[in-house]
Amino acid sequence: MRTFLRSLARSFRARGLQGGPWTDLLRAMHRVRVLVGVSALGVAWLLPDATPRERILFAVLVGGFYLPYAVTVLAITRRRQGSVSRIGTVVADMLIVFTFQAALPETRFVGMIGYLLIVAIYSAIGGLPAGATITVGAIGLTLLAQVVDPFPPFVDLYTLCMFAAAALGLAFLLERAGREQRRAIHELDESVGKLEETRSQLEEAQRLAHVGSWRWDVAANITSWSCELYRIFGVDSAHHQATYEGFLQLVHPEDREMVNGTVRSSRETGDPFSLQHRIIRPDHAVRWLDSRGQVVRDRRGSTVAMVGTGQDITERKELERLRREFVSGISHDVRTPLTSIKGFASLIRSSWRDIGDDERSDYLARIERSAHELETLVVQLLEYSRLEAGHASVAPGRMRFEEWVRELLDELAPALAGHEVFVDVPPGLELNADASALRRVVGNLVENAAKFAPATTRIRVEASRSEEQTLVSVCDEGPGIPEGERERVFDAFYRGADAKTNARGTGLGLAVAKRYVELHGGRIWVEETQSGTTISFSLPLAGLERPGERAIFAA
Amino acid sequence: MRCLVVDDEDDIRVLLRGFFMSRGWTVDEAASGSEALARNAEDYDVIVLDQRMPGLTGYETGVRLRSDGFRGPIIFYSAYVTPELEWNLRRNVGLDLHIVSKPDLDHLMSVIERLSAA
Repeated sequence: MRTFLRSLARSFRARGLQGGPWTDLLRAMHRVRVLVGVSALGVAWLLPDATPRERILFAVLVGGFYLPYAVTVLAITRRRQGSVSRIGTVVADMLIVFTFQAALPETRFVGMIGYLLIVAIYSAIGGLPAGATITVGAIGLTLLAQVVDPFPPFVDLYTLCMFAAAALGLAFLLERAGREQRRAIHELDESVGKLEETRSQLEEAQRLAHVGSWRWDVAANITSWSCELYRIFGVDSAHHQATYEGFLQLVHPEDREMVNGTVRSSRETGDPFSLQHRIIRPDHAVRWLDSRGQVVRDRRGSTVAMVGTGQDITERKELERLRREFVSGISHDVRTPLTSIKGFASLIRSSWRDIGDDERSDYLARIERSAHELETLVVQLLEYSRLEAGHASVAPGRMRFEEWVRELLDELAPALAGHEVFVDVPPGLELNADASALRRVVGNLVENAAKFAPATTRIRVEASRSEEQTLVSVCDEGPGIPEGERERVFDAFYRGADAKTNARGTGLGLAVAKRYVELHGGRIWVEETQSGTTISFSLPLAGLERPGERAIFAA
Repeated sequence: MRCLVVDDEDDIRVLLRGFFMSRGWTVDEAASGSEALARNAEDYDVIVLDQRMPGLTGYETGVRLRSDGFRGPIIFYSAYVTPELEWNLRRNVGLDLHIVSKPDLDHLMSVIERLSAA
C-alpha cells in the first residue's frame, strides 16, 4: 500500500508523458476537447430550462477553465514536441464529462461511457498512477455534484454507476499494479539470485586459480579487492588500508620501487602492465605474485581507474627454482666426470712417454669410473622419469631379508669402501617386496649414508616386524639432516640447503626410493635422532598373510 | 715451480698433478681448505683452489691464505662463478688472482703456461 501511495505521489509530481504515438493521440484528444468545449458553451446558453445561475456556472467552468487549458496545452505541445501534463489532462476531461452531465441529465449515460473510456485510455498510457488519478478525480467531482447548488442532492442509478465504475477501475488498477509489482519483485529476485550465483562462481574460480582481482579508483585513491586477493595477501579486509599506498606497503621492499614504477608508467601511458614480484604477508611469509593491470577510461578518455588481477605463483616459482637447481646440479654432475674423462685422456695423450705404466693404468681406470658415473646418472634420470610418469609398477613377492641384504651389500662394497656396515635383522625375517625395487630403495639409502657420513664411521641396516608391516632402517653417523629439511629430502632434485656440500648425485636417490616404497603401499621418513641420520621405511605384510599367495609361493 | 692443489675430489687432484708435473712442476695436494692452511704457504709459488668443498670453501681458504701473508698467484676455479663471488674474490683475494671455470682445462693450461713463462 505504501508503495502504491508513493507511486501515486510520484505521478502528481510527474511532468508528463514524453513523445511518441501516445503524445500524438493526446494532442488529437485536446483538439477534440477544444471543439467540444466551444459547443458545450453554446449548448449551455441554448439550454431551454436552465436558470441563469446554471448558465453562468457553465460559462465559468467551460469558458473560464477548460477552454484556456486545452488551448494552452495544444500550444505548448506543438512547441515542445509534446509534453502533456497528465494531471491537467485528467482534470480537464473530468470537467467536460461533469459539465455534460450537469447540463444535460439525459447525457449522463453517454458521460459514464466516456468516463470509463477515459479511465481505460489513461490506464493504458500512464498505467496505474494515471488511472488512479482519474478515479480519485471522478469520486471527488461526483461528490461535488451532490452538494453544489443548483444540482439538487440526489442518489440515482447514474451516481451508483459512477462509484461502481470508479471502484472497478481502482480495483483493476490495484490488481494490475500488484501483479506488475509482484512480477518486478520476482524478476528482481531472479536477477539477484543469478547475480549472486555468478558472483559465487567467480569467487570459487578465483579461489581455485589463486587469482584475485582489484580495482583502483585513481582520483579518490580507493582500492577494492576480491576476497581471493585478500586471502593471497593474508590480510583481513577490516584491517587493511584500502589505498594504493596500503597495497605498496605489502609489496616486498626490494620490489616496491619496480612495482610502483611499472604501475605509474602504465597509468600514464595507458599500456597494460604485467610483472612478477614478491609480497610480504603480515605473518612475514613471502609470496610471489603475478600482477597484471590496465587503465579504465571514461567517455572523454580520461583515466578514472585501474583494474587488474593478482595471481599467487609461489608454487610455480618454487618449481622453477627446483628446476634451475636440478639443471645446475645435473650439469655439475655431468661436468665433473666429463672433466675427468677429457682431462685424463688428454693427459695420457700429451705425456704418453713421460708417464709410467702404473700411472697410465690409473688414469685409464679413472676414465672408466667417470664413464660409469655418467651411466648411473642417466639410468637414474630415466628411472625417475618413468616413476614420475606412473609407468613403473612393482610385483611384490616373499623374500628373506637377511640373505638378500648381505648379497646387496657385497655388490655395493666398492661404493661403501671405508665404512663399516652392520646388519641387524632377526634371522629368517621375511618381507613382501619387489626385489629389484627394494634394491633401489635400500641401495640408495646405504649409498647415501656412505656418501654423507665421514669415512671409518659405521652404517647400520636394521629390520623388524610387527603385526601388519616390516620396518627397515638405515642409520649412519654422518652430520644428520637439519630438522627443517627432513620433509624435503624426499623431494626430487633437493640437495640440502647447505650449498657447500659437495656431494655428487642427482638429488634423485631419495625421491626414487620414496616412490618405490609408496608403490608397495608403504611409507618412508627421516627419524628424529640426536646424531647421525636414520631413514626408515615400512612395507605392509598384506601379501604375505594371504594363504593363496603362500600356495603359489610353495608351488 | 712448486704448486699446491686444493680440491676435495680425488680425480681432479690427480688430473691437475699430472698436468703440472708434465710441465716440470712439483705438486703437493690438499683435500680441504683446512688441510691447505695447515701447510706452509710460503713453500709454494702457486696455489690452486676449488670453490666447492665441504668445510671451508675455496674463497674462504683464499681469504685466509692472503691474511696469512701469501702473496703468490692463486688460481681459483669453480663450475659456477656468480658475479657476487667474482666481486668478492677480486676484492678480498685480489692481487695475483686467476679465475677459471672448472671444466675449462684449456684455459687452465694457458694460465699455467703464462705463469711458468713469467
